[in-house]
Amino acid sequence: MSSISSISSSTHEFESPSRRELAAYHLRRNPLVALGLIIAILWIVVAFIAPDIAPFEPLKQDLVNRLQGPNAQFAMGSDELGRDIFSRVLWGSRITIPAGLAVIIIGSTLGVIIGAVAGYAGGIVDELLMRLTELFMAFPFIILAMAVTAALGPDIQNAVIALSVVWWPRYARILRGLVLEVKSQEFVEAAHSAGAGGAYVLFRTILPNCVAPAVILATLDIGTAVLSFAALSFIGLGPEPSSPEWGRMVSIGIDFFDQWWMWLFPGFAIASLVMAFNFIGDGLRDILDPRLRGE
Amino acid sequence: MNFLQYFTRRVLLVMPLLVGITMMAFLIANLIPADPIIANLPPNALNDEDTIAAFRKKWGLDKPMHEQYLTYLGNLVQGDMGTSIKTRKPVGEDIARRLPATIELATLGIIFGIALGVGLGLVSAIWKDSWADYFARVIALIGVSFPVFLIALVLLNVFYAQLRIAAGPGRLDIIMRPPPTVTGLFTVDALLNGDLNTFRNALSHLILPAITLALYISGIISRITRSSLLEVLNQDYMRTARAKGLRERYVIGFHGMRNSLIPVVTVIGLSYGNLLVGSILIESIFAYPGIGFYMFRASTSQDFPAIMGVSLLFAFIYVGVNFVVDILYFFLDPRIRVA
Repeated sequence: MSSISSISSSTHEFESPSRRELAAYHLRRNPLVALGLIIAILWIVVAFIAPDIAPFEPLKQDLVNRLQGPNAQFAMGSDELGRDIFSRVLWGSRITIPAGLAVIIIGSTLGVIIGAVAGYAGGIVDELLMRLTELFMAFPFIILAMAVTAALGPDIQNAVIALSVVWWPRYARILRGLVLEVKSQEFVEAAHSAGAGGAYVLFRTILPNCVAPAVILATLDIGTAVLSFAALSFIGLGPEPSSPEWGRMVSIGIDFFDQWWMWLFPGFAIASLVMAFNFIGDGLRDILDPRLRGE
Repeated sequence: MNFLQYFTRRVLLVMPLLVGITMMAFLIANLIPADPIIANLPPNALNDEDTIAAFRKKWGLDKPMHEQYLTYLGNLVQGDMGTSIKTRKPVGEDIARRLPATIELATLGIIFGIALGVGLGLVSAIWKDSWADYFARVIALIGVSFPVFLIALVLLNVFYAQLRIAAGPGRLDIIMRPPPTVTGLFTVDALLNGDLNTFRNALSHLILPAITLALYISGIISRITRSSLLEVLNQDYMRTARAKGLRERYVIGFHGMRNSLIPVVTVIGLSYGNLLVGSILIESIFAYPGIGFYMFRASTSQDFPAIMGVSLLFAFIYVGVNFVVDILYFFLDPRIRVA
């Protein structure tokens, strides 16, 4: 064992600079990934420090200064209750980013587990789980999420729950296929013959060999999750109306169509975040799965 | 496998799916809300014992779960999806009245969307890495990254409020009278009635929402068209086709397009889901009185029976469209006929 680890660590030392070079090479070839990373990191930093950098309280009303266009005092203007749009946009990142990530993390974990169990167990379990997956996929997923949120009662937490509940099927499908593939390989047989139990083999031996595609899919999906969350709250199935959530701000802004700053800036906030995650996801896919690059 | 066999097999696969959808809708409607009575009846009816008793009886709420489901299914088959809290009318009736408006918009939207998506995908695959490719990819990127309600608001602001070259909200100008109803599609009905004025007006109201819808769905279509065509362009049979002296137009148009079409058709089927969701967001902004607008109003006012009705309808449409896509495969992919 010790000799093996010494070999592998020496190989590692040999590889690690070339890996860094590889990353640099890919970033040079995909400048959009770098741009996406910068924007996403910027938003995440904003989410952490919004309370410190926002010039106003996001809920503070100032009726004297309502519906002001962008000016020196209100960089992005003020809304119908005189709240500062810029501050609200900054604060909004504290709702949207965690919500989007939560949907992806819960949804993909659920899908990975369901797909892995289906693929590993086979037989009737597989059959049942896969029919269930197909059923969930038969609904356009946001529509299903709308129905679930409406039934649970609209708020941020329920919107996240509803989206997570509809998010897993694609992950389950992909994972099932991968587990089926890996299941028949020798090292799995070796683990079995060494006396490892089913759950141990599945979660410690098989799954680690299957997660990479799920991670790519999850990265590609963050943008969609953010958009879906924004759509839910746009139609009123998310946070309550006064909340500085971007989708909600746009939807209130419709009633003030001529005061374009009320809907344009929160809308751009959503777009920039989604675009950043899409750049990262696309780049990651190109780098890790060149087959999809189409060259 | 001949067409009839293939068709029958697909129908047999879809049936359980449809039943499953009604089951799922039933479960969402009856299990999740803390109290289905509170969720389904208007607040002021909750003090009225008679209304509540009638509601219980109609949906069999005092019976065991499986009988409740059968009652639900029985009502559904007769087109009864409950009564909207907001409009006080049967949800089925509300939907039927608004459906033609959405069909009209969605049809135009999907035609524009496919044309735009496939067109951009073709351009960017054939002239890969040219400025045209980058331009097409930026458009696609906007389509997949920008929230559709933002695109709608920007278009409405620029082309209606600023430039005044497109019509605003609604299906017709307020002073116009709708054409006599034949199909419920204003453009078609106006033409049938020989009324070009109304036709032009209805069309001008459709253009902006349809373009928004098209932008929204074309992003994903053009991305798939591009990558699928690029993959096909590298195949040996493409070289063979060129080597035997076929014109480039024919090489790409016939050998290339046809073989890259399968993923494109799949994604068009799947993007129908986007189309339905898009219709909710877009109709709400254009105050376009279709199903989407109805769903928007229902969501903002907690009109639970209406939300469930529209969800069920959308799921059925989605399954129907993807069924048609499956059938199309038979004609697009000869391998199915052999298997």
